[in-house]
Amino acid sequence: MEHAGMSHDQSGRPAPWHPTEDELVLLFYGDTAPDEEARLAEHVQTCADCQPVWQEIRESLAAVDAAAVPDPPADFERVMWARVQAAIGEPAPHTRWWAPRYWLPAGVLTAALLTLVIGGRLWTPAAPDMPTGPIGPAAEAAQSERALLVAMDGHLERSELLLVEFMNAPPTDAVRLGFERDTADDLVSSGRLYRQTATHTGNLELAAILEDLERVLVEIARGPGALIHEDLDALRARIEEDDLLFKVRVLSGDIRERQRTLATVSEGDP
Amino acid sequence: MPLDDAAAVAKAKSGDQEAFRVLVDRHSRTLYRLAFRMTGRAEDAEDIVQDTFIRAFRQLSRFEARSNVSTWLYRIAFNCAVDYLRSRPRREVATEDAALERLAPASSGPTMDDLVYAGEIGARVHHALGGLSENERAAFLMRHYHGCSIEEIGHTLGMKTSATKHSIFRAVKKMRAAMQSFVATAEQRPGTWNTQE
Repeated sequence: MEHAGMSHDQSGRPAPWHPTEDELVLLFYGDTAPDEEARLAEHVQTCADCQPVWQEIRESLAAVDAAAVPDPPADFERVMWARVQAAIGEPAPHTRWWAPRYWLPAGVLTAALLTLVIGGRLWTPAAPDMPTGPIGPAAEAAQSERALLVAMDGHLERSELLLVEFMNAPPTDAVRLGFERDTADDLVSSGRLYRQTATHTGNLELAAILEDLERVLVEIARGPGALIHEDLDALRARIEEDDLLFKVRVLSGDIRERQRTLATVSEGDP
Repeated sequence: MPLDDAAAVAKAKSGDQEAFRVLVDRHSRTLYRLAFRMTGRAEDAEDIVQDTFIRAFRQLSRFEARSNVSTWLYRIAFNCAVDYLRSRPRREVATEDAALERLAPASSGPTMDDLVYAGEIGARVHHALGGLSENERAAFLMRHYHGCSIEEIGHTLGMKTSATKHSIFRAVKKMRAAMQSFVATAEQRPGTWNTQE
Protein backbone atom coordinates (compact mmCIF):
# COMPACT_ATOMS: atom_id res chain seq x y z
CA MET A 1 0.00 0.00 0.00
CA GLU A 2 1.50 3.30 -1.08
CA HIS A 3 0.59 6.15 1.19
CA ALA A 4 0.30 9.44 -0.55
CA GLY A 5 -1.27 12.72 0.33
CA MET A 6 -4.75 13.29 -1.17
CA SER A 7 -6.39 16.62 -1.15
CA HIS A 8 -10.01 15.44 -0.76
CA ASP A 9 -11.93 12.27 0.03
CA GLN A 10 -14.96 10.90 -1.88
CA SER A 11 -17.40 13.15 -0.09
CA GLY A 12 -15.38 16.20 -0.99
CA ARG A 13 -14.04 16.81 2.49
CA PRO A 14 -10.31 17.41 2.93
CA ALA A 15 -8.64 13.99 3.24
CA PRO A 16 -6.26 13.37 6.12
CA TRP A 17 -2.62 13.66 5.22
CA HIS A 18 -0.43 10.51 5.23
CA PRO A 19 3.28 10.25 4.58
CA THR A 20 4.47 8.20 1.62
CA GLU A 21 6.35 4.96 2.15
CA ASP A 22 9.50 6.65 0.90
CA GLU A 23 9.09 9.28 3.59
CA LEU A 24 8.76 6.51 6.16
CA VAL A 25 11.98 4.95 4.87
CA LEU A 26 13.73 8.29 5.31
CA LEU A 27 12.26 8.46 8.83
CA PHE A 28 13.58 4.99 9.60
CA TYR A 29 17.11 5.96 8.58
CA GLY A 30 16.99 9.34 10.30
CA ASP A 31 17.20 11.22 7.01
CA THR A 32 14.21 13.45 7.67
CA ALA A 33 14.61 17.13 8.51
CA PRO A 34 14.38 17.64 12.33
CA ASP A 35 11.06 19.53 12.30
CA GLU A 36 9.53 17.06 9.83
CA GLU A 37 10.84 14.13 11.84
CA ALA A 38 8.84 15.05 14.95
CA ARG A 39 5.67 15.48 12.92
CA LEU A 40 6.13 12.12 11.14
CA ALA A 41 7.03 10.29 14.33
CA GLU A 42 3.92 11.54 16.04
CA HIS A 43 1.77 10.72 13.03
CA VAL A 44 2.86 7.09 12.72
CA GLN A 45 2.18 6.54 16.43
CA THR A 46 -1.38 7.78 16.19
CA CYS A 47 -2.55 7.06 12.64
CA ALA A 48 -4.30 3.69 12.31
CA ASP A 49 -3.53 3.57 8.57
CA CYS A 50 0.15 4.41 8.83
CA GLN A 51 1.03 2.46 11.97
CA PRO A 52 0.99 -1.02 10.37
CA VAL A 53 2.98 0.21 7.38
CA TRP A 54 5.55 1.82 9.65
CA GLN A 55 5.75 -1.35 11.75
CA GLU A 56 6.21 -3.53 8.69
CA ILE A 57 9.04 -1.31 7.42
CA ARG A 58 10.78 -1.43 10.79
CA GLU A 59 10.37 -5.18 11.14
CA SER A 60 11.46 -5.92 7.59
CA LEU A 61 14.59 -3.84 7.88
CA ALA A 62 15.29 -5.24 11.33
CA ALA A 63 15.04 -8.73 9.82
CA VAL A 64 17.66 -7.78 7.26
CA ASP A 65 20.03 -7.22 10.18
CA ALA A 66 19.72 -10.87 11.16
CA ALA A 67 21.93 -11.73 8.20
CA ALA A 68 25.24 -11.25 9.91
CA VAL A 69 28.54 -11.26 8.07
CA PRO A 70 31.01 -13.76 9.49
CA ASP A 71 33.96 -12.05 11.10
CA PRO A 72 37.26 -12.43 9.30
CA PRO A 73 40.04 -14.15 11.27
CA ALA A 74 41.61 -12.39 14.24
CA ASP A 75 44.83 -11.73 12.34
CA PHE A 76 42.96 -10.37 9.30
CA GLU A 77 44.57 -6.92 9.44
CA ARG A 78 48.08 -8.35 9.73
CA VAL A 79 47.60 -10.75 6.82
CA MET A 80 45.92 -8.04 4.76
CA TRP A 81 48.83 -5.67 5.35
CA ALA A 82 51.29 -8.41 4.34
CA ARG A 83 49.34 -8.94 1.10
CA VAL A 84 49.07 -5.25 0.39
CA GLN A 85 52.70 -4.56 1.20
CA ALA A 86 53.83 -7.38 -1.06
CA ALA A 87 51.97 -5.69 -3.91
CA ILE A 88 52.93 -2.07 -3.31
CA GLY A 89 56.61 -2.77 -2.76
CA GLU A 90 59.02 -3.16 0.05
CA PRO A 91 60.04 -0.33 2.37
CA ALA A 92 63.72 0.56 2.34
CA PRO A 93 65.58 -2.25 4.12
CA HIS A 94 66.98 -1.41 7.53
CA THR A 95 70.02 -3.58 6.86
CA ARG A 96 73.04 -1.77 5.43
CA TRP A 97 72.67 -1.61 1.68
CA TRP A 98 76.12 -3.05 1.08
CA ALA A 99 75.32 -6.20 3.05
CA PRO A 100 76.25 -9.14 0.78
CA ARG A 101 72.84 -10.77 1.23
CA TYR A 102 71.34 -7.93 -0.82
CA TRP A 103 73.77 -7.09 -3.56
CA LEU A 104 75.35 -10.46 -4.28
CA PRO A 105 72.27 -12.42 -5.38
CA ALA A 106 70.68 -9.33 -6.91
CA GLY A 107 73.73 -8.62 -9.06
CA VAL A 108 74.11 -12.16 -10.28
CA LEU A 109 70.41 -12.55 -10.92
CA THR A 110 69.95 -9.25 -12.64
CA ALA A 111 72.77 -10.03 -15.05
CA ALA A 112 71.35 -13.45 -15.77
CA LEU A 113 67.76 -12.27 -16.05
CA LEU A 114 68.59 -9.30 -18.24
CA THR A 115 70.34 -11.55 -20.69
CA LEU A 116 67.37 -13.88 -20.78
CA VAL A 117 64.76 -11.17 -20.97
CA ILE A 118 66.61 -9.43 -23.76
CA GLY A 119 66.89 -12.79 -25.48
CA GLY A 120 63.12 -13.21 -24.98
CA ARG A 121 63.38 -16.54 -23.23
CA LEU A 122 63.13 -18.13 -19.86
CA TRP A 123 64.50 -21.62 -20.16
CA THR A 124 62.74 -22.43 -23.34
CA PRO A 125 64.64 -25.46 -24.63
CA ALA A 126 68.05 -24.51 -25.92
CA ALA A 127 68.57 -25.23 -29.58
CA PRO A 128 70.59 -28.43 -29.86
CA ASP A 129 72.39 -27.04 -32.86
CA MET A 130 73.40 -23.90 -31.03
CA PRO A 131 76.63 -22.50 -32.40
CA THR A 132 79.64 -23.72 -30.52
CA GLY A 133 82.51 -21.63 -29.32
CA PRO A 134 83.49 -19.95 -26.12
CA ILE A 135 82.29 -16.39 -26.84
CA GLY A 136 79.23 -16.53 -29.13
CA PRO A 137 75.91 -14.94 -28.00
CA ALA A 138 74.22 -18.32 -27.82
CA ALA A 139 76.94 -19.61 -25.52
CA GLU A 140 76.57 -16.51 -23.35
CA ALA A 141 72.83 -17.07 -23.18
CA ALA A 142 73.38 -20.70 -22.20
CA GLN A 143 75.78 -19.61 -19.48
CA SER A 144 73.26 -17.08 -18.15
CA GLU A 145 70.54 -19.68 -18.23
CA ARG A 146 72.71 -22.05 -16.23
CA ALA A 147 73.34 -19.31 -13.66
CA LEU A 148 69.62 -18.61 -13.44
CA LEU A 149 68.77 -22.28 -13.07
CA VAL A 150 71.29 -22.70 -10.28
CA ALA A 151 69.93 -19.64 -8.48
CA MET A 152 66.31 -20.72 -8.91
CA ASP A 153 67.14 -24.24 -7.84
CA GLY A 154 68.60 -22.81 -4.64
CA HIS A 155 65.57 -20.56 -4.17
CA LEU A 156 63.13 -23.44 -4.53
CA GLU A 157 65.18 -25.76 -2.36
CA ARG A 158 65.27 -23.22 0.48
CA SER A 159 61.56 -22.54 0.03
CA GLU A 160 60.78 -26.24 0.14
CA LEU A 161 62.81 -26.73 3.31
CA LEU A 162 61.01 -23.82 4.94
CA LEU A 163 57.57 -25.14 3.97
CA VAL A 164 58.45 -28.63 5.18
CA GLU A 165 59.61 -27.16 8.47
CA PHE A 166 56.24 -25.48 8.98
CA MET A 167 54.27 -28.53 7.91
CA ASN A 168 56.18 -30.71 10.39
CA ALA A 169 56.35 -28.27 13.30
CA PRO A 170 55.42 -30.02 16.58
CA PRO A 171 52.04 -29.13 18.13
CA THR A 172 53.33 -26.79 20.81
CA ASP A 173 51.60 -23.71 22.20
CA ALA A 174 53.68 -21.28 20.15
CA VAL A 175 56.31 -21.67 17.46
CA ARG A 176 59.07 -19.10 17.76
CA LEU A 177 60.28 -17.68 14.47
CA GLY A 178 63.60 -15.97 14.01
CA PHE A 179 65.75 -17.58 11.41
CA GLU A 180 62.61 -18.62 9.51
CA ARG A 181 61.43 -15.03 9.14
CA ASP A 182 64.83 -13.88 7.88
CA THR A 183 64.92 -16.77 5.43
CA ALA A 184 61.40 -16.01 4.23
CA ASP A 185 62.34 -12.33 3.88
CA ASP A 186 65.29 -13.22 1.64
CA LEU A 187 63.17 -15.59 -0.39
CA VAL A 188 60.45 -12.96 -0.92
CA SER A 189 62.99 -10.57 -2.47
CA SER A 190 64.58 -13.07 -4.83
CA GLY A 191 61.28 -14.80 -5.60
CA ARG A 192 59.71 -11.52 -6.65
CA LEU A 193 62.46 -11.00 -9.20
CA TYR A 194 61.85 -14.46 -10.68
CA ARG A 195 58.11 -13.93 -10.70
CA GLN A 196 58.32 -10.57 -12.47
CA THR A 197 60.66 -12.02 -15.04
CA ALA A 198 58.39 -15.00 -15.58
CA THR A 199 55.46 -12.62 -16.07
CA HIS A 200 57.36 -10.43 -18.52
CA THR A 201 58.49 -13.40 -20.54
CA GLY A 202 54.95 -14.81 -20.67
CA ASN A 203 55.58 -17.85 -18.46
CA LEU A 204 52.34 -17.33 -16.60
CA GLU A 205 52.14 -20.79 -15.10
CA LEU A 206 55.50 -20.34 -13.43
CA ALA A 207 54.54 -16.81 -12.37
CA ALA A 208 51.35 -18.14 -10.73
CA ILE A 209 53.25 -20.74 -8.71
CA LEU A 210 55.82 -18.18 -7.62
CA GLU A 211 53.03 -15.80 -6.63
CA ASP A 212 51.36 -18.45 -4.45
CA LEU A 213 54.71 -19.18 -2.87
CA GLU A 214 55.41 -15.49 -2.35
CA ARG A 215 52.14 -14.97 -0.48
CA VAL A 216 52.98 -17.66 2.04
CA LEU A 217 56.54 -16.39 2.38
CA VAL A 218 55.26 -12.87 2.95
CA GLU A 219 52.96 -14.12 5.71
CA ILE A 220 55.91 -15.76 7.42
CA ALA A 221 58.28 -12.84 6.89
CA ARG A 222 55.85 -10.15 8.00
CA GLY A 223 54.11 -12.19 10.67
CA PRO A 224 54.66 -12.12 14.41
CA GLY A 225 57.82 -13.46 16.02
CA ALA A 226 55.91 -16.42 17.43
CA LEU A 227 53.03 -18.29 15.84
CA ILE A 228 50.25 -19.54 18.05
CA HIS A 229 48.77 -22.91 17.23
CA GLU A 230 45.81 -21.45 15.29
CA ASP A 231 48.08 -19.30 13.12
CA LEU A 232 50.24 -22.29 12.35
CA ASP A 233 47.20 -24.35 11.40
CA ALA A 234 45.97 -21.56 9.13
CA LEU A 235 49.36 -21.36 7.44
CA ARG A 236 49.47 -25.11 6.96
CA ALA A 237 45.96 -25.08 5.55
CA ARG A 238 46.97 -22.45 3.01
CA ILE A 239 50.04 -24.45 1.98
CA GLU A 240 47.87 -27.53 1.57
CA GLU A 241 45.03 -25.76 -0.22
CA ASP A 242 47.41 -24.32 -2.79
CA ASP A 243 49.19 -27.67 -3.10
CA LEU A 244 52.25 -25.54 -2.74
CA LEU A 245 54.77 -28.09 -1.58
CA PHE A 246 53.89 -30.38 -4.46
CA LYS A 247 54.13 -27.55 -7.01
CA VAL A 248 57.49 -26.43 -5.66
CA ARG A 249 58.82 -29.98 -5.89
CA VAL A 250 57.57 -30.41 -9.45
CA LEU A 251 59.14 -27.10 -10.43
CA SER A 252 62.43 -28.11 -8.81
CA GLY A 253 62.33 -31.36 -10.76
CA ASP A 254 61.77 -29.47 -14.03
CA ILE A 255 64.69 -27.18 -13.30
CA ARG A 256 67.04 -30.02 -12.49
CA GLU A 257 65.98 -31.81 -15.64
CA ARG A 258 66.72 -28.66 -17.60
CA GLN A 259 70.12 -28.38 -15.91
CA ARG A 260 70.94 -31.94 -16.95
CA THR A 261 69.89 -31.18 -20.54
CA LEU A 262 72.12 -28.13 -20.65
CA ALA A 263 75.00 -30.09 -19.16
CA THR A 264 74.59 -32.79 -21.83
CA VAL A 265 74.60 -30.18 -24.61
CA SER A 266 77.66 -28.57 -23.05
CA GLU A 267 79.51 -31.88 -22.83
CA GLY A 268 78.76 -32.44 -26.52
CA ASP A 269 80.53 -29.19 -27.40
CA PRO A 270 84.03 -29.51 -28.78
CA MET B 1 48.83 8.83 19.97
CA PRO B 2 47.58 7.02 16.85
CA LEU B 3 47.50 8.92 13.58
CA ASP B 4 44.10 10.05 12.41
CA ASP B 5 43.10 9.19 8.85
CA ALA B 6 44.03 12.53 7.32
CA ALA B 7 47.47 12.53 8.94
CA ALA B 8 48.05 8.92 7.88
CA VAL B 9 47.20 9.77 4.27
CA ALA B 10 49.48 12.82 4.36
CA LYS B 11 52.41 10.78 5.65
CA ALA B 12 51.71 7.90 3.28
CA LYS B 13 51.79 10.37 0.39
CA SER B 14 55.38 11.11 1.27
CA GLY B 15 56.24 7.41 1.10
CA ASP B 16 55.67 6.36 4.71
CA GLN B 17 54.32 2.83 4.35
CA GLU B 18 53.79 2.42 8.08
CA ALA B 19 51.37 5.33 7.92
CA PHE B 20 49.50 3.57 5.14
CA ARG B 21 49.39 0.51 7.33
CA VAL B 22 47.37 2.53 9.85
CA LEU B 23 44.63 2.85 7.22
CA VAL B 24 44.77 -0.87 6.44
CA ASP B 25 44.49 -1.75 10.13
CA ARG B 26 41.67 0.71 10.70
CA HIS B 27 39.45 0.11 7.68
CA SER B 28 40.04 -3.50 6.58
CA ARG B 29 37.18 -5.04 8.52
CA THR B 30 34.60 -2.47 7.50
CA LEU B 31 35.57 -2.82 3.86
CA TYR B 32 35.51 -6.59 4.24
CA ARG B 33 31.89 -6.46 5.42
CA LEU B 34 30.90 -4.26 2.50
CA ALA B 35 32.73 -6.54 0.06
CA PHE B 36 31.26 -9.68 1.61
CA ARG B 37 27.75 -8.36 1.28
CA MET B 38 28.45 -7.34 -2.29
CA THR B 39 29.84 -10.75 -3.28
CA GLY B 40 28.61 -13.24 -0.67
CA ARG B 41 31.99 -14.96 -0.47
CA ALA B 42 34.79 -14.58 2.07
CA GLU B 43 37.61 -15.24 -0.40
CA ASP B 44 36.24 -12.71 -2.85
CA ALA B 45 35.79 -10.16 -0.08
CA GLU B 46 39.43 -10.59 0.99
CA ASP B 47 40.63 -10.10 -2.57
CA ILE B 48 38.49 -6.99 -2.94
CA VAL B 49 39.86 -5.48 0.27
CA GLN B 50 43.39 -6.16 -0.93
CA ASP B 51 42.71 -4.62 -4.34
CA THR B 52 41.06 -1.64 -2.66
CA PHE B 53 44.16 -0.80 -0.64
CA ILE B 54 46.51 -1.40 -3.56
CA ARG B 55 44.44 0.98 -5.72
CA ALA B 56 44.21 3.45 -2.85
CA PHE B 57 47.98 3.44 -2.41
CA ARG B 58 48.49 4.09 -6.11
CA GLN B 59 45.91 6.87 -6.07
CA LEU B 60 47.21 8.61 -2.95
CA SER B 61 48.44 11.60 -4.91
CA ARG B 62 44.90 12.16 -6.20
CA PHE B 63 43.32 12.16 -2.74
CA GLU B 64 42.12 15.60 -1.76
CA ALA B 65 42.82 16.62 1.82
CA ARG B 66 39.29 17.92 2.38
CA SER B 67 37.74 14.56 1.45
CA ASN B 68 36.75 11.90 3.92
CA VAL B 69 39.11 8.91 3.89
CA SER B 70 36.34 6.38 4.64
CA THR B 71 34.25 7.67 1.76
CA TRP B 72 37.24 7.58 -0.54
CA LEU B 73 37.99 3.96 0.43
CA TYR B 74 34.32 3.01 0.07
CA ARG B 75 34.29 4.40 -3.42
CA ILE B 76 37.36 2.40 -4.39
CA ALA B 77 36.02 -0.75 -2.71
CA PHE B 78 32.69 -0.39 -4.47
CA ASN B 79 34.42 -0.05 -7.85
CA CYS B 80 36.62 -3.05 -7.08
CA ALA B 81 33.56 -5.10 -6.10
CA VAL B 82 31.68 -4.12 -9.25
CA ASP B 83 34.69 -5.00 -11.41
CA TYR B 84 34.92 -8.29 -9.59
CA LEU B 85 31.25 -9.13 -10.00
CA ARG B 86 31.32 -8.26 -13.67
CA SER B 87 34.29 -10.53 -14.24
CA ARG B 88 32.79 -13.38 -12.24
CA PRO B 89 30.76 -15.88 -14.23
CA ARG B 90 27.17 -16.29 -13.11
CA ARG B 91 27.73 -19.95 -12.24
CA GLU B 92 30.12 -18.95 -9.50
CA VAL B 93 27.46 -17.17 -7.49
CA ALA B 94 27.34 -18.76 -4.05
CA THR B 95 24.91 -21.59 -3.58
CA GLU B 96 21.96 -21.26 -1.25
CA ASP B 97 23.39 -23.79 1.20
CA ALA B 98 26.76 -22.11 1.33
CA ALA B 99 25.08 -18.75 1.82
CA LEU B 100 23.03 -20.22 4.63
CA GLU B 101 26.12 -21.45 6.38
CA ARG B 102 28.03 -18.22 5.97
CA LEU B 103 25.28 -15.80 6.76
CA ALA B 104 24.14 -17.46 9.96
CA PRO B 105 24.37 -15.05 12.88
CA ALA B 106 27.66 -15.03 14.74
CA SER B 107 26.25 -14.13 18.16
CA SER B 108 26.42 -16.77 20.88
CA GLY B 109 23.55 -18.19 22.85
CA PRO B 110 20.69 -18.72 20.38
CA THR B 111 18.84 -22.02 20.21
CA MET B 112 19.16 -24.32 17.23
CA ASP B 113 15.74 -23.13 16.02
CA ASP B 114 16.93 -19.55 16.20
CA LEU B 115 20.00 -20.42 14.20
CA VAL B 116 18.01 -22.21 11.53
CA TYR B 117 15.50 -19.39 11.38
CA ALA B 118 18.16 -16.69 11.19
CA GLY B 119 20.01 -18.79 8.65
CA GLU B 120 16.91 -18.80 6.49
CA ILE B 121 16.72 -15.04 6.81
CA GLY B 122 20.39 -14.82 5.89
CA ALA B 123 19.84 -16.85 2.76
CA ARG B 124 16.82 -14.73 1.86
CA VAL B 125 18.72 -11.51 2.41
CA HIS B 126 21.62 -12.78 0.36
CA HIS B 127 19.28 -13.78 -2.44
CA ALA B 128 17.43 -10.47 -2.29
CA LEU B 129 20.66 -8.49 -2.38
CA GLY B 130 21.62 -10.46 -5.46
CA GLY B 131 18.42 -9.21 -7.13
CA LEU B 132 19.31 -5.54 -6.68
CA SER B 133 21.14 -3.52 -9.29
CA GLU B 134 24.75 -2.68 -8.50
CA ASN B 135 23.91 0.87 -7.50
CA GLU B 136 20.87 -0.19 -5.48
CA ARG B 137 22.89 -2.81 -3.64
CA ALA B 138 25.80 -0.52 -2.89
CA ALA B 139 23.51 2.32 -1.80
CA PHE B 140 21.47 0.03 0.42
CA LEU B 141 24.52 -1.64 1.99
CA MET B 142 26.18 1.66 2.70
CA ARG B 143 23.04 3.20 4.18
CA HIS B 144 21.67 0.24 6.07
CA TYR B 145 24.75 -1.56 7.34
CA HIS B 146 27.42 1.10 7.35
CA GLY B 147 25.41 4.17 8.31
CA CYS B 148 26.73 6.35 5.48
CA SER B 149 24.80 9.53 4.81
CA ILE B 150 22.93 10.01 1.53
CA GLU B 151 25.47 12.67 0.54
CA GLU B 152 28.38 10.30 1.19
CA ILE B 153 26.72 7.52 -0.78
CA GLY B 154 25.96 9.86 -3.66
CA HIS B 155 29.55 11.06 -3.67
CA THR B 156 30.87 7.52 -3.55
CA LEU B 157 28.64 6.24 -6.32
CA GLY B 158 28.82 9.38 -8.40
CA MET B 159 25.09 10.03 -8.19
CA LYS B 160 22.97 13.06 -7.36
CA THR B 161 21.11 13.15 -4.04
CA SER B 162 17.72 12.43 -5.60
CA ALA B 163 19.08 9.49 -7.59
CA THR B 164 20.77 8.16 -4.47
CA LYS B 165 17.54 8.38 -2.51
CA HIS B 166 15.62 6.59 -5.24
CA SER B 167 18.21 3.81 -5.34
CA ILE B 168 17.72 3.34 -1.62
CA PHE B 169 13.92 3.46 -1.94
CA ARG B 170 13.92 0.84 -4.69
CA ALA B 171 16.30 -1.36 -2.73
CA VAL B 172 14.22 -1.09 0.45
CA LYS B 173 11.05 -1.95 -1.46
CA LYS B 174 12.68 -5.12 -2.82
CA MET B 175 14.17 -6.07 0.53
CA ARG B 176 10.80 -5.59 2.24
CA ALA B 177 9.16 -7.85 -0.32
CA ALA B 178 11.82 -10.49 0.32
CA MET B 179 11.36 -10.27 4.09
CA GLN B 180 7.56 -10.33 4.00
CA SER B 181 7.11 -13.93 5.12
CA PHE B 182 9.47 -13.45 8.06
CA VAL B 183 7.66 -10.36 9.21
CA ALA B 184 4.30 -12.13 8.92
CA THR B 185 5.47 -14.94 11.21
CA ALA B 186 7.39 -12.76 13.59
CA GLU B 187 4.61 -12.56 16.14
CA GLN B 188 4.65 -16.35 16.53
CA ARG B 189 8.33 -16.27 17.50
CA PRO B 190 8.90 -14.42 20.75
CA GLY B 191 12.47 -13.58 21.51
CA THR B 192 13.65 -13.24 17.94
CA TRP B 193 14.51 -10.03 16.11
CA ASN B 194 11.06 -8.51 16.43
CA THR B 195 11.67 -5.27 18.27
CA GLN B 196 7.98 -4.53 18.62
CA GLU B 197 7.54 -7.07 21.41
